[in-house]
Amino acid sequence: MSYNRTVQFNSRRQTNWQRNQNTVAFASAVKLGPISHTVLVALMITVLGLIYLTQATRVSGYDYAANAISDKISSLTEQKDNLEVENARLTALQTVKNSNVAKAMTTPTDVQSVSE
Amino acid sequence: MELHFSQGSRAKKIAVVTLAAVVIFIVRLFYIQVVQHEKYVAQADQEQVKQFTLHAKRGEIYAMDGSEPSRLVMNQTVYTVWADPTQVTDKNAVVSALNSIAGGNVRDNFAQYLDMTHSRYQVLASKVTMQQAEMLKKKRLAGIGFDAVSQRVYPEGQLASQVLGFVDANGEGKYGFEQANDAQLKGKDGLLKTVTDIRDVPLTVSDKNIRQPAVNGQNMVLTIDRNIQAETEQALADGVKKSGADHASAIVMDPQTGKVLAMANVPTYDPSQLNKVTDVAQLNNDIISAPYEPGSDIKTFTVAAGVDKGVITPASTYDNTGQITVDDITINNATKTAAVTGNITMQTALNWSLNTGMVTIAERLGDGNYITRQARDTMYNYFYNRFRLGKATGIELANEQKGVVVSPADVQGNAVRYSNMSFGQGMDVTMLQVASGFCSVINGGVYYSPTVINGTMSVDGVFSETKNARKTAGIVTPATSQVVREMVHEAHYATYNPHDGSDKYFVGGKTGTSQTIKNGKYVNDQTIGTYLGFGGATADNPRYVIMVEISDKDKSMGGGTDAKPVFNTISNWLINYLGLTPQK
Repeated sequence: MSYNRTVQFNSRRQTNWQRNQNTVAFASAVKLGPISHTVLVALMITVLGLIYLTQATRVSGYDYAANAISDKISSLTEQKDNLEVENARLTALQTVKNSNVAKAMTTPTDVQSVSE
Repeated sequence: MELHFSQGSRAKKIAVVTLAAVVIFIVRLFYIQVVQHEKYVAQADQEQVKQFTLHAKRGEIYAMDGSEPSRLVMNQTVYTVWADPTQVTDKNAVVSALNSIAGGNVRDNFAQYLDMTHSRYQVLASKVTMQQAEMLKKKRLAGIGFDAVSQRVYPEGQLASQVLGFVDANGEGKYGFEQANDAQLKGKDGLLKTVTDIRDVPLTVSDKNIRQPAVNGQNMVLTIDRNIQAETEQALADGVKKSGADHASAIVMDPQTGKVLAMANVPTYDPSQLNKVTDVAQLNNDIISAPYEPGSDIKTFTVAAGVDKGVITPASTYDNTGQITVDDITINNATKTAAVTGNITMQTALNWSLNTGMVTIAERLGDGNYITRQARDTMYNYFYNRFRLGKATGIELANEQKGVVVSPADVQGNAVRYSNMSFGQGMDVTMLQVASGFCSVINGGVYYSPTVINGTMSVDGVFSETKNARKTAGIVTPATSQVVREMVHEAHYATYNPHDGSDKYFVGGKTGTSQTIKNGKYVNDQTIGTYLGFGGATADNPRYVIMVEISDKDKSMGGGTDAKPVFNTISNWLINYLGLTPQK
C-alpha cells in the first residue's frame, strides 16, 4: 500500500531557531491563482446578494401577511357594523311597536295611583 | 500588471473597444444616476408609490332612550357594482348573477350597459350589501368590480329627520344637526403613501412610506328622547288629520336645563329616501327656521313683564269695553261676551285671552294711559333682551332664523306696534325662541339657551354628558315666575277642562290664534293655532314645556280647538312617561 503526501513538510532544524518558536511549517499544496480568487470573490458577492434578496423578499412576505390580516380586520369590522345596524333596527321603536309581543298586549281596565 | 500587445494586434483592438464600451457605460450611468437622478426617482415614485386616503368614519348620532343613549344615525358600508364592458367575457352570467343576488339594487335595464364598450366604467347596481357583494365576488365574474361606499342608515326610520338633516353624496352634512356639526361629525381623513406591488398591496420596502391615521368623527348624543319624539310625531300626525290642516310643529323642552326633548314637524321625510322628497320645504325644521307672528301665547310674556315690574297682579282690574284705542288704531277682543265685559281682573283677561288687557298692561308700563317710550323700552328690554325673542338662540342646528322684534328706537317701533306686540302680533319670532323664553318665565327666571347636544359617546360606548353652561339668571324674579305659573295654570283650565286626570298635576298653558297677512292685511280666515304650556307634579317644579303650532293655507286654525288637543295628548302622555306623582 502506498500513499501520497499532500502536505509538504519543511524542516527548519537547519535554520537558526530559538526557544518557543515552531521548528516546522506546513504549506498547502493547493495553489489559488488570480482567476480562482476572482471567481471566489464573485461567488461570495453572489451569495451575499442572494442573502439580501432572501431577506428583502421575507419583508415583502410579511407585508402580504399584514395586508391579509388588515383585510380580515376590515371585513370583520364591517360585519360587526352590520350586526349593530341590525340590532338597532330590531330594537327600534317602530319594530317593537309592531312586534307580536306588543300586539298581544292589552290595555289595563283599572289603574289606581298609590300615594305614599 | 503590464500588458504587452503587438502593434495593431487583434487583442489590442479588442481592449480598446472594450475600454471604450466601459467608458460609454460609465458616462451613461453617470448621466442617468447622477445628472438625471431626480427625474428617474420621480418616475419610479410615480409608478411604484401610491397614495391612498384613509377615510375617517363619520360620527354616529344617538338619541336618549330614557336615561340611556340609543342609536339614531349609523354608518353602513355598501357596495356599488360596476362593470368594465371591455373585460366582460360572459354577459349572460353577469346578468343572471346580478338579477338573482342583487335584483332589487340594479339599475333599470342594466344589461344594456354591458354593451357600452366605449366606456370602461358602468355602474350596474348600487347600495349592495356586504353579503350580496360577497356572493357576487364568489362568482368570479370577469370585468366586474366593487366600490365600497359608506352610507348613513336610520334604524328609527324617519324619526326626528328634520332635526337630524342628512349627508349628501359628497359626504357633506346638509340641514339640521348634520350640517351644523359637520366638522365634529366628519373627523379628518388620513393618508397612506406607500410603495405597492402590482395589486396595490402596500409594501414596507421604502423609506418614503407615510401613514397618517384617520381621525374618526365624534359620536354625539342628542337631548332628543326617542320615546317623547315618537309620541310627539304621532300626536302631531293625528292632530293634523283631525283638524284637516297640512302643517304642524311641536317642541318639547326641559325648562330646568334648556334641553330639547322633542322637535317635530308635519309633513316630514325619510332621510334614507331623499329621492322621494318632492318639496324641499320639507327638509326645513320650521321650529327654528320659520319665524311667524306668535299671537296670544305672548300674553304670558306681557303678563310676566307687568308682574315683574310691579304694575299688575292677577287681581288687578281694568275696565274692559271689548276694544281699546291706541293712536288712530282700535284694537278689538276676539271674545266679546258680557261675562268678561266691565271691570275685570288681569287673570280673567289672561283666561279669555283679551287683547285689551294686554294693551292695558303695556300702558301701565308707561304712564298708565299711553304706551310711552318708557313703556316700549321696558317691553323691548323684556321681550328682546331678557326673553330673547327676535334673537338667534344659537341652537346646534343649521338654518336657524332670528326673526324680527322692532326696537322702540326704530321709526316703526311706535305705540301701535307695541300695542300689537303685547298680544303677539307685529313681531316675527320662532317657536324655539318662544318656548325657550317661556321656560325662563316659569322656571324661576333662569334663561337656558336651548340645546340639542346632550354629550358624546366614546368608541367604547361610554356616554359623557355635557353640562349646559349657557344660562342667565334673573330674567324675572322667582316670585314673578311663581305668580305667572299660577296664572297660566288657571288659564289652562278656565276655558277647557280635560277631565282626563291631568288636573291632578300642575299643568298650565295658553292658547294662541294669530292672524296672518294676506294681500297686506291681517285676516281671520287664515289663522295659525298655537298652544304653549308646561306641566309638572307640583307648582314649584315644572318638568316640561310644550309648544304646538298647527296651520294651513286659507284655513282658520284655532289655538284652543286645534293646537290644545295635541298639547293635551303629549302632556298627558308625558305625565305617565316621567312618572309624575298625582297631587290631588
